[in-house]
Amino acid sequence: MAALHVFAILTAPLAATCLFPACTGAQTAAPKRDLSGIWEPVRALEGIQPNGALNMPADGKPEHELHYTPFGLELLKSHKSANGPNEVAPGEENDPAHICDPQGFPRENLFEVRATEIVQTPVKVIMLYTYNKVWRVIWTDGREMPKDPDPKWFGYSVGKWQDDYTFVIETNGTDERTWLDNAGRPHSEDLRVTEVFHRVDHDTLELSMTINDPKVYTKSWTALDKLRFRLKPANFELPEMMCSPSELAEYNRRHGARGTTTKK
Amino acid sequence: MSAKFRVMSIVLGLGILAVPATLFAHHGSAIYDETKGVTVHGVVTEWLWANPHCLLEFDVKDDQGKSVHWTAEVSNPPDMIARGWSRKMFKPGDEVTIIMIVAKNGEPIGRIARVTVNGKTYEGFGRVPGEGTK
Repeated sequence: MAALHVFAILTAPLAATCLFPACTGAQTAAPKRDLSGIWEPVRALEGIQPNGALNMPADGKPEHELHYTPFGLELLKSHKSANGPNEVAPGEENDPAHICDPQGFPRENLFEVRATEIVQTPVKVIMLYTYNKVWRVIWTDGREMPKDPDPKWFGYSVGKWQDDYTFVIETNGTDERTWLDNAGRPHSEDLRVTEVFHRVDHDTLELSMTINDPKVYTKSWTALDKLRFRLKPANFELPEMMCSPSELAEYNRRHGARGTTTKK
Repeated sequence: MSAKFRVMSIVLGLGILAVPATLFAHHGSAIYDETKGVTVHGVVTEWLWANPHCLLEFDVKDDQGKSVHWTAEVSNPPDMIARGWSRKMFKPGDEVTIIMIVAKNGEPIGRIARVTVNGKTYEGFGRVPGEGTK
């Protein structure tokens, strides 16, 4: 007993400070080939991306200029965004998401990315997004990408494990009515998106995303470069955040439509 | 802000420190004069806990004692929950002190940077102009 007391006395200061992984920063090993859990952007604003894709915001900087085909440029001009440096006055914008049309994919990864639950089954990965409570299916049953698919809001996605901690998703067949991001970047039905999810450690996930649409852009570009997510507790409740047409109309009537940029 | 809506305002500061553009999720900030904060004391008439942005409706008496009705926004419910706000935090008749930025066009609309209600102060959506990053 005396020996136990001595041990306790000697270790008490350590226990009071830090002995366990949670406080030492030591990480539990990440499970292999497993992304399941609730993941939230480490920096909330990096998930919201109000001015367009996080790594290519529409901020007027030369390094963020995208290279459009003539067709792509015409599409871009037809998109009137209410956000970013080219924002137009309320009432003049035509963002489809502002009438509660689906954001679709890949905008789901480029605007309002919040806590996202990933569920895995033997044949698919399911992503449950907070914003508008939508989900996406990524097939992992070995199927090939569809050739010339009918477009869908969220397209068709197929995923493969590149190694034990890197999951790569290819998506095509997206609906060109959707915008790529909040700055109104366009895409065609030829869009192909590559997502790379890399599980850095037990509590950290990174997402990189490449846009390839030769009909609209003269070269592929990186929309996300290691956007970092942190694992939330398993009992974390995803908040409710819906685009409600009636709430939106009420907001516009009371506030949004009264805020023209013209000074009286 | 036009003379009509001068209300009981205090210009808090000038530098453009209000809010990084990246804070805004759905709507642009070009409608606002972000160079100064305006402080008002008012009485709540309605609190809308809704998307895309929550709205507080309240009446403020101007310099001539005339009541002016204001509508001011914050962010969406999940963002405001994270700041300690709730669906039941205001009720009609509550007296509030609000620091907000207001529309350039003179309409009595704004965005709440800070509010005090029932003796408790809450940070709103965006920084108070003139105050640095916390």
